[in-house]
Parts: sequence; structure tokens; C-alpha cells
Amino acid sequence: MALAAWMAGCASGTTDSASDDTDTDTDTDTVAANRTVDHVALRRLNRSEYDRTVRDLLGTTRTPGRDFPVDDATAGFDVVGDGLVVSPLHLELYETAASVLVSDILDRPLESAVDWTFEAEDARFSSDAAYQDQEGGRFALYSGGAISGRVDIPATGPYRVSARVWGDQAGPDPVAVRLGVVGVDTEYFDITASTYNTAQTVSIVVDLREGSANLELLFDNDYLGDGGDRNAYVDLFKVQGPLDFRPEVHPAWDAVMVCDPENVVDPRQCVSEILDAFVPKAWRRPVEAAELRDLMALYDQVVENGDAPKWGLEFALRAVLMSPNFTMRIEPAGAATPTLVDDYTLASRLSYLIWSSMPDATLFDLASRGELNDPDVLAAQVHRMLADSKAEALADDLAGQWLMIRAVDDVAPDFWYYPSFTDDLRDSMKQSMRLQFMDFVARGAPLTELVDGKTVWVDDLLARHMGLGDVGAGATFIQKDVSNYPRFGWLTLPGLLTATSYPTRTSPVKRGVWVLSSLLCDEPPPPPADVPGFPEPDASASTVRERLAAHRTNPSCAACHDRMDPIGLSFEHFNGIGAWREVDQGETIDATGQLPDGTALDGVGSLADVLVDDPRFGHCLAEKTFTYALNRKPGTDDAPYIDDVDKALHAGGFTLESLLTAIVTSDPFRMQGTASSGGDE
Amino acid sequence: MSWSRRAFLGGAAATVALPYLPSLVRGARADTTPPTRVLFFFVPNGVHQANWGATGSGADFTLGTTLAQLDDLKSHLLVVDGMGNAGGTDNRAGDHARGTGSFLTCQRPSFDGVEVGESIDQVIAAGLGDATAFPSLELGVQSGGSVGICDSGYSCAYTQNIAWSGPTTPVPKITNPQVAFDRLFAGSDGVATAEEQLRRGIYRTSVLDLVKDQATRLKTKVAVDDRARLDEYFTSVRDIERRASGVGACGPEEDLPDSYTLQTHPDLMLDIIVSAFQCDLTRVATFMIGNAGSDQAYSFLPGVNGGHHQLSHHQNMAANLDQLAVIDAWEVERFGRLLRRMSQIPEGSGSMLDHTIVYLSSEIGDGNRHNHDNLPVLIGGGQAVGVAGGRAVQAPGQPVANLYLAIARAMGVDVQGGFGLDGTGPVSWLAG
Repeated sequence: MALAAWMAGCASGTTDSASDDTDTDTDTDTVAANRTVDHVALRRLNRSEYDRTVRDLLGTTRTPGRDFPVDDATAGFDVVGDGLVVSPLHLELYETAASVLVSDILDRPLESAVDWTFEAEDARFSSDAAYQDQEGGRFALYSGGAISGRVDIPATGPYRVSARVWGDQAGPDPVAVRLGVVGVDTEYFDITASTYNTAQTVSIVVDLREGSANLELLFDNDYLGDGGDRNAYVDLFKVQGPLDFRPEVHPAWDAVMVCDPENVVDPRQCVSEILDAFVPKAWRRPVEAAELRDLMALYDQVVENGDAPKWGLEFALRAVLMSPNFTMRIEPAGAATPTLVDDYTLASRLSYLIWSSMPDATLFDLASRGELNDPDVLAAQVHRMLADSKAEALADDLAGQWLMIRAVDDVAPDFWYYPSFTDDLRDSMKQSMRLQFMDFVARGAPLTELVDGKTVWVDDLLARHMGLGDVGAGATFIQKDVSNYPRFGWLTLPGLLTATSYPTRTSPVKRGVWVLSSLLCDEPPPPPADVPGFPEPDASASTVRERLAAHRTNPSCAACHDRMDPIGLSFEHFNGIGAWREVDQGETIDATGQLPDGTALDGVGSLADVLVDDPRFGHCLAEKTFTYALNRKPGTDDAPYIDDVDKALHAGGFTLESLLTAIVTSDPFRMQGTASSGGDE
Repeated sequence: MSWSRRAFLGGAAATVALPYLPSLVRGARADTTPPTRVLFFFVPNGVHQANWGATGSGADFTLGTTLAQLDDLKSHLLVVDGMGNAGGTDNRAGDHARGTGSFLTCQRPSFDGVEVGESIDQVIAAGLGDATAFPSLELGVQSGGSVGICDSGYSCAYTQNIAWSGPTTPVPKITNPQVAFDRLFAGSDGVATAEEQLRRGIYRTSVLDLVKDQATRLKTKVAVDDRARLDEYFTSVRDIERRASGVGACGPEEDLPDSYTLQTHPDLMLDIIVSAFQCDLTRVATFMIGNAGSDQAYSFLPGVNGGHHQLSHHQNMAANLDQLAVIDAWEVERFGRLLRRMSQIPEGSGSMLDHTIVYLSSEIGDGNRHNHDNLPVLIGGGQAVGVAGGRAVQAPGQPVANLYLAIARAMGVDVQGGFGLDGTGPVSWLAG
């Protein structure tokens, strides 16, 4: 039933739940009057999503996505479908990634070290000695030569190779043998034992690679003369190891190999069971019988050609991971009018929004029962998912772009101007931002704290940099109260202040533009072509403030700079790497200004007061998060829904949970529209 | 990447330019006829125009301050003055994004979506067909904007790519040398026997065929608007499928150096292109030494202490222009080093340079004006394939699209019906 629903592209649960009295009255499957729902474009996973998906699918710590070409962000986010095209380069790198990941899956864990005994007379061993026999429970060398035999080595590591040896002693010297592994290491031993009952065990420790090893025992002081006939006998060989064996963790094997095709009677049946269990997870939806048959045909081709079942499974799994069903976010087409998406599609929309990754067992379970597309269920899932550590993806990917966390990786403050800027400080700045955002994700802090928060996450290095004194945290991060410092939420985090500066100085314009575009969604247009930025500070003794003032005397500049400059200048107490300063180039800092509506500003605190009351602030949070969630540049059709989200955000105390819940339960998120035409106009 | 913070050393870039990859490749075919290649070399932010270009015209010319370092290569150079690209112009901000989106497409990028036009390198690559394992090679230095905002609301697709295989499909570039090296030159794992490899090759083909089938079948299940994405998938699989053999047989005799710096990264990528040409793995390449409007800080260059884009807004102030000229000279040094390397690789009766057209330009002319006319255009090489070098050419008002048509023709690809917004037919002066 669920499968049919996915393939038919209609909502699996709605027809059932419509007759179900648990259904809420607001849960309709049609769009409100005067509204429509735009199309969510088919797209591939971006780099972050690919890596998080293989992590959750296979338990791997590999990050193949880091080698993929950078994703072309559109509308501020690298989840927007227009920019996520597929190229031959992507397919090549998908192929490489699939090959590596499948090797991991097929890397059978060793459950224990081996301790094998091989009778020397068994067929495994042979000799190049002219006179020898292989009977009577031992291997006899009557003339010089070597006994050798090949054994399987299950894993790379040190092994002890032993042999039980005695000899017919004759002549001046005892029997001498050399024991070892051909091409690796051997060692000489004198054998004094002369009977089976007193046989000596000699051994050597050698480092062996997984695969096979050629054991060898060489008898090379054969003697025949007045003293008699010297012969060597070997009874058995032993191989023990790896000597450093510890039970290993093989998450990829555990995640996929529900049976081991190399250790079952019917390997084909086993491979079929593996694919039955794995493919629906990898493709994030139920799988058709025909699709599984196609994969089994790959297996059959390999095995019928005489190659090992393991190879057959390898190529089938490669096909699973190279498939557009895995690498892309496939959503079945809706009907002619906007329709509720099926539950599997919704599960992926939800998990990629909050975790940048595939759905977990709970979401799959809800989808399979057709229970997910219900506002109460969705709200409960948002709550659950935010509490999961995987929700840190929101800090890395949503805030990473919108709130500039990722930009900290790219800043390059000039050494001469900012000698205290080090890569350690860069790391601390970035970690501080991540933790600050996790306050919204996991701890329910209101998003108004972006502008008026009075706590920051710092380690000792960052605390000193911010002038917060000695917090005694060492290299760990603690939450520090900054009520007594002129620090205000995200606005004054050093990472942001550095990312909105030039390498050699602050940029009130960049900072002003950032506040307007990222917190108020009111980006001023860039300067007209003939009026560029302004000169470097060494050009004259005047401050940035004075030069900006001169700039605003030009009417064509003033229109926008009157909006940007007072905001940007209110940050002037923070230098180009976000440290507090009282003077700039000998002049006392003046952080005052006046907004176009006449509001006077003096420092970031006064700006925070203005922002927190500005209706555009909440609306902008709604718009940015909506863009991220719906993977498209919002169009006019989206405007009423964004207004709804804004209202819900206010009603919900400005929590990220209320914001995400409002989006997730909105029609655009739960439905698929028909066409993308006009969506951006 | 291992970044070398050279701020306080302040040394000039080394003038002796040893290749990072050996000039010899293993396994190159000894063809009698060297192939013709083209490389499009993008530099961001325009140039310091007063120092650029040449004085004089025709064969009697003197290179300007920035290009003077190429004097030994003069007979291989075509210094072109005055060309423009209409695709970069529009009545809104975002000249870097637009100038780069139009750089090789000569179309005006869409602001609302991601749509521009097929780029000339891809037109040429398609025209050459399956001659080489890789129809084209796209390399660069900067991966891209990490925060999703690139230029004035335009998609980062325009600022991070110059090659477009279709109007909505940028061809991403590789910036990690190891990824590029492995893609082009890595052979088989060496463990499997030749016979095993052959069988594995057959199974691989079956996998790719199945993946293509999956893309085709999914087309019937998704919305009409989404089918193009699955077509992209299908053609991408087909492209890598025919690459099954041939890769790994030829490559540099040594592996990449262990590390590289901001300073050496461009040369390393260019050396990879030269090796790929030597192995005839591709005949069409694009290279971005920086992304559109790059604000890269070049602190290893003497006297340069601002971001490139920041400095490009020079306001005609000497302090800014001087630094800009140092960055320009460093970029031209990379171009010159590339040309000299090619000139030292014998091919036919001449060198690789004689059989390779290297085109260098930028998304704008002057960083202060953001103009899309009077672009800096420099052509190196190609003397055996229809480029008459050793000249300065004045081509005021002529569209670069027409120069692209002439380059395509030299590559043996005749483009009918013009190119881009303003390309009407090949310029007459490329061949002299």
C-alpha cells in the first residue's frame, strides 16, 4: 500500500486519516482559497547532505562529499534546487565514493584471532626436496629442500608461525631448519630433538598482510656420511594471529550485511535479503520488485561469469549508491492541482531540513504507516528531531550560510593590522558561533537573542580576545554572562564582525548591509557603477566615519548609505576582528548615528533595541528559514505562507521550534505544486 | 591545503619557475599530428588598465608595464584592445556575477533563476566529439563562496563557473589538485590481474547501464519541470561510461608535490592542464585563477595588503592602483610561465604552444567602473593553428563572441548562426 502510494505519487495517509477521527480539523488536503503552492524542484544532495547521509546510512566517518565540487548556492543557500545541477564530474566522484563505501561494507569484520593448526602431511604442503615423503603423520625431508604451503591470512597484522620439528641427528652439527613466510621473513633454528615424542616447536613472529601467505620450512644442512644420515621431520604447522587482535567496529558491514554470502549455503538468497533490507533505506522509500530484480541481475551476471558472490554484491551495491534514487531528492509528480506529498517524500523533506540527512527509523516507520502527514505528528517530530544531536546540521548549514558561520573559514585578516589573529582564534570564533546557534536548536532560546542575547560561548582564548577577562575555561567552551559588557547576541560575535570586515579595517558598509539583508531581509542595492567604495585609511588621516560622511553628501549615494551607515557605524567600537576598541587611528570612537526615521543610535546596544522591535526582523527569520526549508527562492505565491509563519513565530515566543513547526505544517512544505513557472516573478 | 603565511617575508614570487609536474609523461602516444587545443584563462576583477595592453599596432608594438614581462614571448602574443561582451551589461548591480556568467557564453544571466547559455568551450568540446577521454577540463583555484551570497543576489553558479554545457547547467570546476590528478591520471589499483580488470570493466558498464535506466524510468514519475535534471544525470553517466578505458595509461612520471600554497596553487593546476594536453586526455580547458569578484588577500605579494576586489575599486588612487598592478603582474606571470612551459614541449615541427590557443580575459574591464566594454584580452600561442601572433590589435566595440567564433573555427568547429547575444561571425584578424 505504501509502495503503491509512493509510485502513484499521492499521499499515502490522507485518504485513511480523513475518515479517522484523530485527524485535526486544520489538516486539509487542499490549498486555501486565493492561494497556490509552488513546485519544489528535483535536486541532488549537496555536499553536506551527501556526507551526512552516508554517515547515517552506513555509520561511516568518511566524507566523500568534501571532494565534490562546491555547490552553487542560490538565494543564499546551497539547498536551492536551481543551483544543484549534475555534471559528469559529479558522476565520476559518485562512482569513486560508491567504490570506497562499498569496499567498507564488504570489509568483513574479524570476530576473533585465528589459531590454526595444519598437519604437515596434508595436501596443502609440498616440497622441492629430491627425497621426501608425506606419510606417517609427518613430512620427512631426506635431502635438502623446503616444505611450503599457502594459508589464508584473514587480516593484516603480526602472526606467530610455528612448526613442530625433529630430526635424525648425524654428523658434526645438529639438524638446522629455517622457518618463515616466503618474501616476508625467515629465521634459523637448531633442532636437537631426535624423536617424535621429543619434537621441538620453533616459531617466528612475522607481519602479514590480509590475503595469503606462503609458509616455508627449509632444511639446508643435509648430511650423509660416516656419521650417518641427517634428516628433518616436521609434524605440524601453526598460524596464530593477528597477535594484536581486538574486536573491531565495522559499522558499514553491520549496517548492511544481514548475512554473509561467503558463509551461507545459498549466497544468492543472502544477497537478495541484503538488498531487500538496504535499498529502501538508501533510496528513502519502498522499492519495487522490478527494481530489486534489476539489481539481482547484476549479481547474476557476475556469478554466472564465474566470479565470487562477493563481487556480485559489490556491483549491485555500487549501483544502489550511484543511482539517482540515492544521490538525488526524487519526489513523485503531484496531480494537476497541488496535492499532499506522500509520506516518504515528506519524511525526507523533514529530515533534510533539520538533519541535512536521511530519515531515521522513526520517520520511516511513521511514513510506512501513513501517519506522518498530520500537523500534530509533524510538530512532535520537529520537537524530537531538534533534540537529536544530528540537528547540529542546522548550525552548520542553515546558520552556516545565513549567519555567516562558514565565512569564518575564509577570513584573512592582515597580519600587520591584526597580529593576534591566529588559526586557533579562528577556530574559537567559529565554535562560539556554532554553540550559540545550538542554544536555539537544542535549548529553545528565543531567536530574539540574535540581537539582544546576553550570554556567549567562550574558551579562554576567545574570552581574552573579547575582553571578558579570565574565565578559566581553558580550551573548553563555557557559557559566559555578558550583561556587564557591551556585547549583544549574534551582532557582536567576533566571527561575524571579522567576516564583515576587510582584511585591514572594519567595514561599516558591510556590517550595515549584513544587518539589513540578513536580519531584516531589506538588502540595499549595491552602489551604482560610477560610485565605488572608498580609499584605504592610509590615504588620509580621516576616519572611516568621516569618509563615509563625505560619501553621503553625494545624493546618489545618500539614498542607501543613509540606511546602511548608521547601522554599520554603531559597530565601530569593534575592530576588524571583533575586539573592543576605544580609539581608531588616534581618534576616539564615535558610534553614534541616526536612522532615516530619526531614531538616534549610539553603539550596538541601541541598535539591538531597534532591531528587536522591528517587524521586519521576525518576518525575515521566517523568510530565510522558509527559503532554506523549501529549497527555492520565495516567490509571490509563497508570501502569504511566510506571513503565516511570521505570526506563528511571534505566537510561539520566537523559538526556532515554533518557526520550524510553522513551516513544516504549512501547505507548501506538505504539498507539491504543479509548475515552477512564475514562482520567482 | 597547507597555507603558507608569508605576510612578513614579503618576498616576490620566484622568477625561476620550475614545473611542479615533470615535463615528461609516461605512456604518451607518439602521434605525428599534434592536436589543436584551447585554454580559456579567467582572471577576476578586471585589470589596472593604464598599465595593461600595448602601445603601437600590428607587428610594431611595445608591451605595457604589466605585460612587459612577456617580452620574450612577444611573437606568440596577440594583444587585443577594445572588445566587449554585451551579456555582462544590465540595468542592475551584479557586474561580477553577470560578467562571469557571460564570460564564455556571451548571454545575459537570469537574475531570478540559473540560466544563461552554452559556453564557447563547451560548444567546441561538443564539436570535437569523442576525440579524447575528457571532452573538456575545468580547473580553478578558489572553490567558492561558503555562505551562499556571491554577488548582489545572483546565484553563485555565475560566480564560480565559466563553463556551461547548457543554459541551465554550469560545469563545475575542480580546485583540489589531488582530485584533478586522480581523475586524469590515476590508473588501476594494480592488485587485480589484467583479466580480472577486464571482467570488472564489463560489470562496471552493467552498473552504469542500470543507473541510466533508473534515470530514464524516474523521468516518468517526476514532474515535467524536473525531467531535465534526470536528462543531465543520464548524459553524465553516459559521459563517464565511455571513459572506461584510456584513463591511467598516460600521466606525469611523478606524483603531485606533498603540499601547496596559495602562491603555488595556480601553477600546479596549470601544470595538470599541460600534462592532460600532453596525454591528449582533453583538448579544451578552462581555468579560473579566482572566482568572480574575488576578494582574495595576496599578502605574499610585496606591498599588497587588501583584498583583490576591494583594491579593484581603486578610485583612481595611486595607492590602490599600485597594488592592483602587482596582483595583475602576478597573474600575468602565471600566464607567462604556462606559455613558456608549453613552448618547451616539442610537438610536430614546433612546440605545444604552437598548437594551443590560450585566451586570457576578465569579467570586467576596470574594477572601478565595472564596465563590460574595453575588456583586457590576451591571446598566447596557436601559431601553428591559425593564430598570427606578434601583433597588437585594435578592435574597438567588437564583441568577444566574434573572437570566440574565430577560435572555434581554428579548433575546427564551425558554429553556424552566430553566438551569444552579439556574436555574428568570426573576426577576420585572428589569422592576421
